[in-house]
Amino acid sequence: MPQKSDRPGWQVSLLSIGVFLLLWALIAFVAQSPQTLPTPLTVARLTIAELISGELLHHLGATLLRTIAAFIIAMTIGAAIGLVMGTRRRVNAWADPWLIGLLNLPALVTIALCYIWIGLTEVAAIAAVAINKIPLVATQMREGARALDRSLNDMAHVFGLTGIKKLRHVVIPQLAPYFAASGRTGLSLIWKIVLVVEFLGRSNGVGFQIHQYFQLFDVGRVLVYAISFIIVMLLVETLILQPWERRATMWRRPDAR
Amino acid sequence: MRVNVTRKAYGDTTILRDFTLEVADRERVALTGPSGIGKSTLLRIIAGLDADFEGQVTGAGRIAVAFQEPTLLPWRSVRDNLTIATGCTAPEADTLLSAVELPHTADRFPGTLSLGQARRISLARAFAAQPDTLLLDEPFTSLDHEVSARMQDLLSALLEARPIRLILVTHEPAEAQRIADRVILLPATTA
Repeated sequence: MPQKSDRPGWQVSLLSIGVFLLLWALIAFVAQSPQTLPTPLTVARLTIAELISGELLHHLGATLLRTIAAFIIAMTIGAAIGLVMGTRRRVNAWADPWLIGLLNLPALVTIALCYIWIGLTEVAAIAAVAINKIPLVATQMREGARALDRSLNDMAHVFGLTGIKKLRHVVIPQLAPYFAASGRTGLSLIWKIVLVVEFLGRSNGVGFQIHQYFQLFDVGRVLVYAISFIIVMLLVETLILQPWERRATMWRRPDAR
Repeated sequence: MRVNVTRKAYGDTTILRDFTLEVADRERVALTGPSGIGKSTLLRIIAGLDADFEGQVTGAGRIAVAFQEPTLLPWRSVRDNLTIATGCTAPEADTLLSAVELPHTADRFPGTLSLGQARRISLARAFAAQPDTLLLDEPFTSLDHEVSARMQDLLSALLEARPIRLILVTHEPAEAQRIADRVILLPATTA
C-alpha cells in the first residue's frame, strides 16, 4: 500500500507566502509611507509595467546569464580543486592555507581587484563572482572526496575503470549530495554577489537597475527587481536543481526498483 | 602464475615473509588459515591493489575479484553494474545473471538485494570480465548454510565451463575442500 508522504505539500508553501504578503500589506498600511514601503499591490502594478516595457526581462536576462556563467565556472573549478585536495594529502597540506585565505577574502575586495586588474568588463564581472564562490565549493567537495568509498575505488581499479568512466560511474554519484548542497548554497550566494558586481561596474542587470532606483529613492522599483530575481531563482531551484537531485538520489529511496 | 612475496609489512609488523605460490592454468587453489594471517593481504597483492611489498607477481593475466563485500555501485542497476565494470554487453550480462539464478534482478538497484543475492551479482560481475585469474575473498562469509551451499554449487558450475585459474581465500576448511584442487594452509609462521 503506498504510504502517505510526511512532507508538507505545496499548499503549505502557498499559505506561507500568503501570510507574508498579508503582513507586508499590513505594515505598509500602518506605515502610510508609499515611498519607503509600497504595498504588494503597488509593487505588482510596477512589475507589470516593467514587464510590458521589456526592461525587466532584459535586465533579468543579463543577471541570469552572469549567474549561470559564474556558477558553472565556480562549480567546475571548485569541484576539481576539492577532489584533488580531498584525495591527495600533500596537495591539501600545501593548498589549505590558500583556501582559508580565499575563504576569508571579502567579496568586495575580489570585485574591486578584478575591475582594477581586468577592467570594467564582462570577464572581470564573472571572474570576480566565480573567484568568490570557488573556495566554498572546493571546501565542500573536499569533504565529499574524503568520504569516497575505498572499496569502490578498489573495485574500479581491479576492473580497469579509469578516467572519465570512473569519474562518471564511481566518483560523481558519491559526490552528488555534496554537489547538490554546494549548488544550492552556491546559487543563492552567487546571484547576490552578481548584484554587487553589477551595482559597482556594469551597465545592465538587476544590480545596475537597483543602483539606478536607489539613487532615485524609488523603493517600489528596487523591490520589483529584487523580488523578480528571487522568483527566477526559486524557479531554477524548483524546476532544475530539485528534479536533478531527485533523479541523482533515486537509488536511495526505499521504493527504488 | 607465480607469486613471490619476500616481505610485506604494515609499519614494523611483518605480515608475510618468503611466501611463494605457483598456480597452474585452470587450477583451483584455496588459501586458508586463521584471521589476521595475511590471506586478504595476499589477495590484494595479487590483484594489484597493494604495490607496497617486496617481491613480484607474474603470469596472472587478466584478473577479476569478488570481494568479501559485494562492492556493487548502488546507484546503477544490477545489469549496469556488470556492463559498466567489465565492458560486457547487456545480453551477456543477462546470461550471467541467469547463470547465478537472478535474471529478475537485472533492472533493480543493488540496495534492494539481500547479501546473498548481492554476492552472486558480484560473482557474475567477476565472470563477466572473462578473467584468466579469479580471486575470491571469503565469498560465502555471513551467508546461511543453505545459501552458501547453493552459491558454492553455482561457482563450481561457472568454473566448469571456463578456463579460469582460481584463488579462493576462506577460513572454512570445508569450503576450501569442496571447491579447490589444492588447499594451502597459511601457518601463523608465515610472517
